[in-house]
Parts: sequence; C-alpha cells; structure tokens
Amino acid sequence: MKPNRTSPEIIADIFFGQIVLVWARWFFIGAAIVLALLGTATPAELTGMLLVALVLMAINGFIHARYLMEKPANRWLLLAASLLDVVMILGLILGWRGGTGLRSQFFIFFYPLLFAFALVFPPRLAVAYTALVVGLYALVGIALDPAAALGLSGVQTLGMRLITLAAMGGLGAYYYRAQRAARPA
Amino acid sequence: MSPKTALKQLHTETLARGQIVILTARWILIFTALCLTLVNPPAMNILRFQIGGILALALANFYLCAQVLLKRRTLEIVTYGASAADIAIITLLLVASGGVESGIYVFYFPALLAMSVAFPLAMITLFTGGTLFLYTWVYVLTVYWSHGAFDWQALLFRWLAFTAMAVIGYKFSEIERRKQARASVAPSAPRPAALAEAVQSA
Repeated sequence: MKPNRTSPEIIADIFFGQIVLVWARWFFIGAAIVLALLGTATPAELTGMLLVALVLMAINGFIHARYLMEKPANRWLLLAASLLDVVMILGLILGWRGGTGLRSQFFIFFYPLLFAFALVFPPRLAVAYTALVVGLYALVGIALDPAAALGLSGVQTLGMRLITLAAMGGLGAYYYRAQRAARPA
Repeated sequence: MSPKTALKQLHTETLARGQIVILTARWILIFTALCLTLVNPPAMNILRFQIGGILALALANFYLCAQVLLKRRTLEIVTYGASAADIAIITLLLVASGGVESGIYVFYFPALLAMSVAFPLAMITLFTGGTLFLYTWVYVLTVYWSHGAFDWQALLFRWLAFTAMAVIGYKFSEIERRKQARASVAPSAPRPAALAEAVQSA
C-alpha cells in the first residue's frame, strides 16, 4: 500500500528529517548576515537587514530547539517556513540593489532549500515545491529583464539554472524513495 | 558480526544506494552541458575542448551505469575517482568559459548533492573542501587576470551554498543510517513520545 500523508512512516520521516531543513535555513541566515555586513551602504540598511536575519534566527532557533527536545514542528509549520524561505529569497532577487533578476546571486540559496525539502517531504510534495520555485524564478527572471533573459546568453544562463534547480528536487526525491525502499519491512 | 564489519557493510550499502544518485546527477550534468554548449557555442577551440570533456565524462558514466545494470559491485576507488573527475571537468569548463563571469559553477550543486548522500564523512569533507579550494582559485585568478573587482560577498555566498549541500546530504544520510541501525537491532523499540502522539492524532 502506498503511504499517505497520515501514515506513521511519512510522519516519522518529517519528524526525524526536518533537521536538514533547519540546517539549510541556518546557511541562508549566514548569507543574510554576510549581506548585512558586506552588502549594505548605510547604518539604516545594515540595521534593517540585521533585523531580518534576527527574525529568521529566532524562528529557526525555535524549530531547532524543539527538534533537540524531541518535540519537532509539524508538517504545516515546516511547509509555512519553507514557503517563507522562498518568499524571502525571491524578495532579495526582486529588490536588492546589488542586481536583480538574472543578475542577482541570491538564487543559489534555492539549491540547499530544494534539496532539503525533497529529503523531508514525500516526492509528490517535493515535486510541487520544486515546480513552484523553478516557475517563480523563471517568471521573475524573465519579467524583470525580458530582453536579457530571452537573448541567447540569457536563455543559456536561465536554462542552466532552471535545470540544475529542478535536479535538486528530482535527485532529492529519488534518494528519499531509495532510502525508504531499503528499509526493512 | 563485529561492529567494524557492520560499519563497513553499512558504508558499502550507502555507497551503492548513492551510486544511482551520482550516476543520475552526472547524466544531468552531461546533457545540460552539451545542450547549452551547442545552443550558444563559444570559439571553436573552446568548443572542441568542452565537447571533448563532456563526451569523455559520458563514456565513463556509461561504463559505470553498465556495472550497476550488471549488478557488479563498483570499486569504491572508481566511484571516488569518477566524482573527482566530475569536479575537475566542471572546473575546466568553468575556466574555459570565462571563470568568474561564467554561470557554469551551478553544476557543482548536483555533483556535491550526489557525493553528500553517498560518501562517508571524510570523503565528503575532502570533496567539498577540494571544490571550495578549486573554485576560490579560479575566482581569484580570473579576477586577477581581468583586473576586475574582487567580490567577497559573492564568493562567501557560494562557499555557504556549496557547504550547505554537503552538510544537508550528510545529516540526512546520518539520520537514515541511525534509523536503519535501530530497526535492525531493536525493531520494536518504542517511538519518542511526541512522535507516537503525532501518529495517533493523524
């Protein structure tokens, strides 16, 4: 029988596996701190960026602490936090003055997040999350600078990023299935 | 079975399961790199070099796939060697296509993902450290040659993202190893209270 989202197996996977999502977010928080220290020009900007990093640290610290106490977050809280991660990265890609759209470097933080998500949640959900991220990133990349994104080198750059981002979700989901298949019945 | 033998067997099983992920990640690298090179071909000399490198990788991967299909055990040293070749070829393609200006560095992500779920900690550390070292060298040298500005922020972001891949893969494999060990030693061991509660409420 195929396990559904209420099966003990899926619940246990989310229960134990969520630490990888927490770790992926710690690395993103590290990037936010680097950005606050190196990428800001005024004290106001630095303070603003640091505040964002502190809020993220508080949320992630809370989830991490609950995990250590063997009282991990449930799937809805994890899903909400994962969507918040996507919104934050997209916000930086859309608005940070260091370069927006395809010129922004922040897309690289989608890689660990997609990988971690695919390892924790069942493949169907992982594929949906990956498709959402890939679709939104393509949309933002094309909408912000259509001329550059649809030129030959833009298509190459965007194609390379979208395929490798999709590979994160695909390979993560594949490994998730391989691990479950290897478990003793 | 002695703990040492059991540990070795666990490593072999993890490597065998991860081997498929490594091979798939490498096919993704090969097909994407080939398509994108042909969509926007660089100068003829660079193109020859890039196509040659990609085809060599495809041949090696085909051989490794054949070993898996024939259910033959691939030697660990061959798996490590092939993964080192992945990193080396991505780095060479990166250098050939402009170094710091090139977007080819994103291919390090699937390569690191595959290694992080298949290899033991010492090898993950070695491969991730090697990738960071090579990428930093390419970055520094191309900035130096092109007299460009050194972007510490971009470099730090990439270090963080590469390291994150290795940490996530390793953490997950560790959790799975622990679960399997627990299941084989004491299959009916009680679940943590919160987990039992979550299962009940679902």
